[in-house]
Amino acid sequence: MLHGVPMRRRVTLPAFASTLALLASLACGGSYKAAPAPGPDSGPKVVTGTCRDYDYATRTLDLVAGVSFALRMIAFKLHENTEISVRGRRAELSELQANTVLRIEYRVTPQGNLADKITVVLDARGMRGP
Amino acid sequence: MIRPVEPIGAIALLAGLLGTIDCYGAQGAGTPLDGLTADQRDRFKQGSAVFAKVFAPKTGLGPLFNGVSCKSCHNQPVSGGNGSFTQLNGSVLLPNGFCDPLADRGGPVFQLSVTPALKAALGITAEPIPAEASRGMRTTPDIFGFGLLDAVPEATILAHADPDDADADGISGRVNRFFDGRVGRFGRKALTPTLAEFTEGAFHVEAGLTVPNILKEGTVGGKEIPAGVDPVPEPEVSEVMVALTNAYVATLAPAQPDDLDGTAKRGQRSFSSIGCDKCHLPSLRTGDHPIKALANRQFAAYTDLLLHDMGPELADICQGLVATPSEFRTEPLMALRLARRYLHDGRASSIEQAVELHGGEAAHARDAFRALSGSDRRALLRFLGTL
Repeated sequence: MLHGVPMRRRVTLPAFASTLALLASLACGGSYKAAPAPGPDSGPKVVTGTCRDYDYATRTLDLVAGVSFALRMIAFKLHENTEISVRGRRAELSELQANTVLRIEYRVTPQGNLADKITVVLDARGMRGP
Repeated sequence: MIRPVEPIGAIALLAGLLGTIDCYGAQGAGTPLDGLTADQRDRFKQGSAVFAKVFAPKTGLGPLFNGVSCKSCHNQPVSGGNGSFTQLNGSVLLPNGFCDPLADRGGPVFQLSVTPALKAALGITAEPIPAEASRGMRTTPDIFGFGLLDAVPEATILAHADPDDADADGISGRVNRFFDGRVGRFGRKALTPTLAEFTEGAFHVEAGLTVPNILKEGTVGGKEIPAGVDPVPEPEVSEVMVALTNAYVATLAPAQPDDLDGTAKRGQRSFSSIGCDKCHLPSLRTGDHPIKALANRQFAAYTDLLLHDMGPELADICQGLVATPSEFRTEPLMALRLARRYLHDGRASSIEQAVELHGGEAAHARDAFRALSGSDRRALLRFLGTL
């Protein structure tokens, strides 16, 4: 009882709208089968993105990557044996500058993301032309 | 006593009602492409249902979002059409030259709605945007015929590019690139390389829904969402649902242009003679494609999918690896007659006003438009109104 009114099951607006939407979908002949959720990602850790910034002192870099407008920034640490290459040759740290597109193979560790191999995919000059 | 209507309930109700209004068919818009197989038409139908599916917090919506379904934004005049919602984008041009999409602070899209649980936890009604961010408003475009744009070979886009204006016609045309270096083509600044990615990203950015390729919830201004605010397990949208939505979006037919009368034909000639067609290429050709109805097809695109400097008056934000604040991708004019607001942020209320607001590389064509006789201007506008 609530304020003397018998308790009744109330239909909420979202539920009502969902029902309407479902009916509308059915009216359009639509239906779909849900797929089971995929398991945890167990593949190699590789990401391609653009270097936002590189700090030579701390040997860290920030990379922007993602899908369409769903973007994320990923911080990486380089270790002594991090391999850097561009077009098949060993590259210098100085080539890890902002606007450079990088492919990074890395490991997730308690200390953060450790980059094992960094390949320069497209340097900043590559943006200028087609 | 009238019970106050919760905002999400009202939005969901409206979206639900919209879902009852049409299936598809008005003015030829919203229909599937001709030439689809029975299976492809079936997937189109199933995908349209996912496109219209209304999400709620208990099915994964949010906690930050702009719309409760794809169709809640894309619904004018039918599913897949334009809409009245205007999206907020932000970015910052860093001193090192990097256009920062503010990915660590919730960008580049800042959602304008929150679920009740997030509001209760943080006391916010929208995602906070950093004070130093440049802001760009984006209207909801229709997506009719976007599968054809998706099927245009990258080589075609590159072939039209003229970044240094080598032909000295005052028009350059630059390719934008996504953060992994690929050529972009979707979005007002051509950030996103493919339609499938654009759709997947929209689930996440516009409705706060995780998908198999984006399993992590977005942040709130860069901070993790509070525990318990969105307990729905990831992904909130299944691989099958994403695939069906992609199938629907990719096979939405372009809106059929109206027949041209004599005046409109005269306007069509002016469209070319004053140089509109240098960027708004009247037709493009698709390449090979697994969906036969999308393969090797000439279509009225009215875009080159390239970035052009539109002048300081229209400038807002940088985006991607190339686009400066004043550069925008040539807007496809497919279904232009169905639009009610024009230009990227909807600041123009008529086609004529939109033409008048063109600047930068388009200034020459705009001035030529102004120099036309009144009769020729009306003819050109009549032509544009048929698209």
